[in-house]
Amino acid sequence: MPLHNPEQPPSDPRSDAALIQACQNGDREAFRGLYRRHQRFVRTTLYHLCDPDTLDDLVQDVFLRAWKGLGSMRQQAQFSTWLYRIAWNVGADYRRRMAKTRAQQEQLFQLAEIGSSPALQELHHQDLVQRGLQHLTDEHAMILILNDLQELPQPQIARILNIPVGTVKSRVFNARAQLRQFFQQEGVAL
Amino acid sequence: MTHSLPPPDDSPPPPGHQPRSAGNNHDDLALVSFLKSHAPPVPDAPVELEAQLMTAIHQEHFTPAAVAPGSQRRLWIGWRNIAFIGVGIAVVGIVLGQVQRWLSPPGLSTAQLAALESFMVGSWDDVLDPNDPFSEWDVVPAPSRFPPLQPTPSSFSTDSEP
Repeated sequence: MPLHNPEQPPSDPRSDAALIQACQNGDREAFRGLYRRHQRFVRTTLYHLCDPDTLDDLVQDVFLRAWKGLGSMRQQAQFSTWLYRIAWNVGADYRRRMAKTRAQQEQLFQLAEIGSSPALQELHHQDLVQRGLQHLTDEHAMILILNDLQELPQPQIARILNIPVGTVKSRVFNARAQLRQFFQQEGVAL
Repeated sequence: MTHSLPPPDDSPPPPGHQPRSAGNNHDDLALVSFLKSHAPPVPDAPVELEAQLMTAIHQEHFTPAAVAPGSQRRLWIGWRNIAFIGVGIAVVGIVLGQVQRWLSPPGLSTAQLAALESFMVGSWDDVLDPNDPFSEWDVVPAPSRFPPLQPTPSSFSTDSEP
């Protein structure tokens, strides 16, 4: 049983740029500040995008890639956008690898009986949301996570995904339409 | 249940920032509200995850500082490109040489060259001494500049008719 943080650990007061500069000067401990500042966002995004069972491995993979790529960073002020793009790439790779087993998981979920108590109903709704995001394409799932759940500004979403803002808007529209259709198929009218 | 996150350093949300669902239609509001209300809670990061990450980073031989200034990295990339270009030119040259060897006719052997040389020398000697009884060459006398005209059969018959 893994131990969990009872509280958010204190964050380094230095800016991202200062922490990156410290890392590039050989201060490996400075990376801890970057991790503590951004791990929650990365973790939430990957949790909704991927399999919760492999969440810790994926988060660690993202930050290890970020560490290895710090030397090639040109614009230190764009660290968060760059880091979230790494998270998107890691999550999309994982979804592609797991695409075959996803169908089997959905069948297992659908076979589970739904009780009538509020707690079970809430679990059912959470399962619906999770399966709905898994049902979408990688791009549509990511756009809903960033836009609707994480509430990032759309220009930053455009920079993370390296697409125009107009494409962000159209993807949000299409992703919501597909998710709404999925919910309707599952008996939830919105 | 969602977790509010500190805004990223590079793009703080503007004052009065509203979620993008705020200005959309009722269907979108209901959908986004359902998403936010029933999104499964994200488990907190295990304490050991940060320790594992920092251990992995401390064990990494790679350090960002090694490539951070950019000059050494660019220098390495420059030398690598030059090496690739040099190897490419050498490979192309070798391939072209092989193709040329395959397409060119085969060379004469030493015996064939000796026979050819003796033939050329003998021929030249015959030309220099046409009276040699063993010569294989017959000297043809030079034709005159204007050879005599020979009457054609038709002209001959016309002239002898009267």
